Amino acid sequence: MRNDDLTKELKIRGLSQAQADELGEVAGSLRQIGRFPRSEEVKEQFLVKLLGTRKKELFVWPRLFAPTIAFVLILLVLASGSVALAQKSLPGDVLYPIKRLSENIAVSLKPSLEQGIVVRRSQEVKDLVEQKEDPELVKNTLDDFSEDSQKAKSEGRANGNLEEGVRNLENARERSSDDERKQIDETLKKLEDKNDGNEGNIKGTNSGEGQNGNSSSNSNSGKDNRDNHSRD
Amino acid sequence: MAREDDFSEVYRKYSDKIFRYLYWQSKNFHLAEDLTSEVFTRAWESWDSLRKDFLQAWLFRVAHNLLVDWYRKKKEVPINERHEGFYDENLLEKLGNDEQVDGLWKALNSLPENLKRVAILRFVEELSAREIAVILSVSEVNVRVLQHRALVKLKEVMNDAK
Repeated sequence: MRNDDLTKELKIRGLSQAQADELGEVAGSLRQIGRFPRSEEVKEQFLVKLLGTRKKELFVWPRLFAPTIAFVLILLVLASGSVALAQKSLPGDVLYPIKRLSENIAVSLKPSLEQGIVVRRSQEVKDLVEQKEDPELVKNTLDDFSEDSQKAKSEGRANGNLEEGVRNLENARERSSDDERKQIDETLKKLEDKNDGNEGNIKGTNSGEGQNGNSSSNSNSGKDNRDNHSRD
Repeated sequence: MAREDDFSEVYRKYSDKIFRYLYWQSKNFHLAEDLTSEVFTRAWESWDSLRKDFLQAWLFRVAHNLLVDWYRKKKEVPINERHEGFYDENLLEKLGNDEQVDGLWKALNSLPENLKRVAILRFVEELSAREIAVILSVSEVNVRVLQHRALVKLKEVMNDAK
């Protein structure tokens, strides 16, 4: 409060000029002695601490999303666990669709995996026959085998692996019922027929020859083997 | 960053005033600094809802209430729990060795609490009678009466001291 204003105010209250001046001096002393500044350093330290801490609190949001993040992680773990378990499943199992889905994704990312999938189908046929599963499942799996092997051949990625697939089917054939045997024979025949227009992909059980362009002899040897099985 | 900048500006402008008000009331340097930190921490916590046109009065009112609470609780709760305690040790030393400061403290301390508060707010910090009325929850007329009484009493004490 400025001294002039104070003097005026005091005079309104009935004080003389001299009395008002005396009190004004007292007020001046208070202002003069009473006002002192703190160091700028202390002020800055406080501001850094307060606002620095608050700035960190702006990043509280990850905590808000923690349940969602945890849920997503659990889903990922469960999903990856299911995919791993599904790899051993057979047609008709609950997890089998997951196995097929994971295969499709894998092939779309790396087309060369197609050959391995053909072998898998043949292995499934073999396992189904051994476990005396529903013949319908065997038939469907054989159809899938045909389709996959055809696809692998047409895309030129069946080198060597179809041989293993054929071997699996031949093993399955030994343990199969009459109906199943017929289906397996048809599948192998189909594979062989289509192979006539696709040199060197099926090598039968005499591996290595197909690579030299002797596909007809290979397929014949495969046929011979099957004839032997038929005779058995 | 505008929010932080605005707050920093307010802190730089008013923190000395708040500190001095608390210091002259308590003559406890560290308590005054801790309570000042608390006042501005609360201001920052309520920053978005604070009326910026009445900020000074709000700050002094919070400071006043904190000090009253602190005395009421008989100093059981150390106020610096929330604050790291940045103290201007040079100022502490300077105030401790200054005879004029000591004389003013003795004079102020001779006043009843209500006169002392009005004297500090009106003559040291130069707040308006209206603002003081809001801070101390009294009428503006009452503030003017109290400020007059405070000056008369202080003059007597100072004259006695000479």
